[in-house]
Amino acid sequence: MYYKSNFSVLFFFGLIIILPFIGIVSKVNYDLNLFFDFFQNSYTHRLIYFSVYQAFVSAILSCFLAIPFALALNRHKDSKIIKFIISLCGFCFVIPTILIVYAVIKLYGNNGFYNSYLNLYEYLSIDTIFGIKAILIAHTLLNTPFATRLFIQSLNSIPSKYYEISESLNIKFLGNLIRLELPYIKQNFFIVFSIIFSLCFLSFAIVMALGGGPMYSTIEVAIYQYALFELNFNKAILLSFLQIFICLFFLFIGFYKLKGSNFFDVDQINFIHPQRDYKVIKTIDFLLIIFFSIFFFSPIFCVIYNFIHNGYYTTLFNAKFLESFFNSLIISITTAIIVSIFGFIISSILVINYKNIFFQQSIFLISSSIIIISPIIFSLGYFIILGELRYLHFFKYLVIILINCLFLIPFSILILFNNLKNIFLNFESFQQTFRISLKNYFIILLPLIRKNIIFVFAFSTVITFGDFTIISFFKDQNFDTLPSYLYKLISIYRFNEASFVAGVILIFSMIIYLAIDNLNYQGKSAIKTWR
Amino acid sequence: MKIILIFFTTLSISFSIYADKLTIYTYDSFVSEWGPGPIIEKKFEEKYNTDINFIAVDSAATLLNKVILEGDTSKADIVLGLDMNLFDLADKSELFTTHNINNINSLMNLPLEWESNKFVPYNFGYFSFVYNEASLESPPKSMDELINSTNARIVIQDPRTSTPGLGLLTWMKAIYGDKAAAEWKKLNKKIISVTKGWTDAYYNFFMAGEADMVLSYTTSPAAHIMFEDRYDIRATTFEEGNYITIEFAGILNNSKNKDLANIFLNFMLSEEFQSVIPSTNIMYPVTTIKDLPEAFNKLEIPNIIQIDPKEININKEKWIDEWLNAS
Repeated sequence: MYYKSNFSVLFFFGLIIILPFIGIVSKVNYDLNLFFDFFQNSYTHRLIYFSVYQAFVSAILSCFLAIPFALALNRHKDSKIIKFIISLCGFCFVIPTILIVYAVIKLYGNNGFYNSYLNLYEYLSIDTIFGIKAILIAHTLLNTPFATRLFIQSLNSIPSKYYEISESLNIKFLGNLIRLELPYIKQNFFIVFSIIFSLCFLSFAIVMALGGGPMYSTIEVAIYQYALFELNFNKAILLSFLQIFICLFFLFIGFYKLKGSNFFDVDQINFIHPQRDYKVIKTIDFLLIIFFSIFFFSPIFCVIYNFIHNGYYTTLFNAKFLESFFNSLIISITTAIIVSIFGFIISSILVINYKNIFFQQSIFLISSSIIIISPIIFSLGYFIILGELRYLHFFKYLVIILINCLFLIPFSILILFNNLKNIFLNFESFQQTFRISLKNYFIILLPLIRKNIIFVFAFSTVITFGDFTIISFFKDQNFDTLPSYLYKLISIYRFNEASFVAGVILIFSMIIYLAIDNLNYQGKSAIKTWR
Repeated sequence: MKIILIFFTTLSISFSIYADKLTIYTYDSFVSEWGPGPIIEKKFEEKYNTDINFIAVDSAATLLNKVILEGDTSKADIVLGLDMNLFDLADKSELFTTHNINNINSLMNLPLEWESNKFVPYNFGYFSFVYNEASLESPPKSMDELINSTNARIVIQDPRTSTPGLGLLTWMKAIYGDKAAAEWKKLNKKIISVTKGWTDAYYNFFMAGEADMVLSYTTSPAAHIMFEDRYDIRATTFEEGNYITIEFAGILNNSKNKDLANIFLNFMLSEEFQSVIPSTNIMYPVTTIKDLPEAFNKLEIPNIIQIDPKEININKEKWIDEWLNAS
């Protein structure tokens, strides 16, 4: 029976992964000349170069800015405000990227906040923010808080004993920093850098909206443009294979270490940094924390300010807004339910078969591969394979939910598997003693894993609610979700309505995020924070 | 008996017409609340006691892509919003059927002879770079001047998604031929953004002050005169000539409402339809209308420049690659 379920799991996973590739391969023109022409084209070279270049600079900027921020926050992590700031840093991992796009235009555009008050364009001789500047600003705003959270995680793993030893050795602030804290950050620097590099490499909404045209396009955006603008599936497919190849390279350089909840794990340690009360350090830290917080959380402030200030609340009764909102809600909630259920079922099968290394590793390898392959490739595949069916609302819902599930189920497995395995093994002797059937055993275990399942549910809801990449392939005049509706409003210069929609997206995402990060998990939690 | 027969025939025709819904694919700005779509829809539905269903795509250039992709399964009866740069591709696609309008040139007032029995034009204009004379003191008088001497931040549209974008691509080719790639390289230094569609470029960049010049139409200033009483927005007319754009509609082969679709194409050339065009689509009507808005009389008529649509269809992909490589 278990063999059957093993194979049905592998078959199910395999089918939904292979299906879009069948679509892609079916459209391939096997003309080698086309292949050589395409890869000899200087525009293709530039696409590759720019994709790597912008991702590299964005990752470097994000990581280096995150280090002082993480160090400063780490020194005061017992404060409630700092706890909240750290919590907010994690939010940037799930914030819909379209909100960052909106905020960058509102803050850094020619008519944006900074130029209006500081006249920056004239002082810095800037013609326009669009292009590499806007991409780097947006990526930095999005990823530095995320990197900060990961570095804090590293700093948190320094045993408090080490600080006691360094204090007894009379090692001062600089010594601690160089010999203790920075080496811990250094240990994880490469993995943090490679994760951010990959995220920026696969960035879609930001490059699409802020790139300013083909001169600042990336492979990810070019796949979309070739497929939807030119209907040139050949070029889109060739770029897709290139993208997959590069992504597989990421898989080998360390992206596989991306393990679900570990991103958010910050152990609960009642720790007071020995140098946190030095006057000079305290002053510098607080200035730095205030400055960085204002800068990095400016998109959140900007969205909230414009939501309140513009007060365009009549949009709430706009039919198009309501339709988009309900589409987002249906898609995100359905996805979250499916992801939670399937995540639990697959994790359970994995746990039952924890001795079957081959099966376990196959599922993990497939999971990791899905995570690092861009949703744009799956969207393109399903876009092709669905044919005319993609114009029907039912199939739009179905395929959007399916692709979202495809990306979130691996996350849910990574989140649920370890905890479920520990619980399963802890109580296995009881199961054997009392001869509890496997089915009943899992019913008993379910409440113990409930918090993790709620986390998976909430995480999936937030990610799907803010998705802009998958919907880009399937949206049309009569079908939008809130992020695609927001993009449309920004494109037609309706910033009052856009402010309202952006506010709704932010509030919805933030409530769910903060609930999972702080409220629902008091004590032992899926996402741990200090208390 | 004859009267009864006529009565029942008319009744059955009117019922069959009413029962059939005319589905028209068009571009988004045509059906926007300020575009001609809503007015035309109301007029046509009232006059012929029928129903129109406009389905809009993001931009005109993707309109034909959508129909080609859908092929025989397309829900559309009419595609409205194609332009001369897509003429040959549309013509050769075998997706369109002939219309029933005879002597079409005698009904229209186009600056060029119309030679198609598949497509019916409904408005025309000339591509141009629009600027604000308050901020751009010495506007270019030629494409050459724009590329080589004008100091301005320019925003254009992507030729793969936008009609004016594709218009500029062919405009450059018409002027510079084989040297177009080199001229694109020079022009690109002044281009601050390439947007997906016209609305984004015009409102998000030009009107928001992010750009000094925007690729648009010679008729764009008329909108500012009519609705804002603004005379500072101007359009360039170039010594080399401005590229003409004629927008047209056609009936799809697989349409189940060909009669009604033909009625609509005839309606497109009527005073009722044409009089709506200048104040909503901000383009020239293709027929002589009674009340052309005064703002249109203030506009300069440029010399026409154009490339044979057949040549465009053959070379379009190559020219787009050339543009991408030069960007």
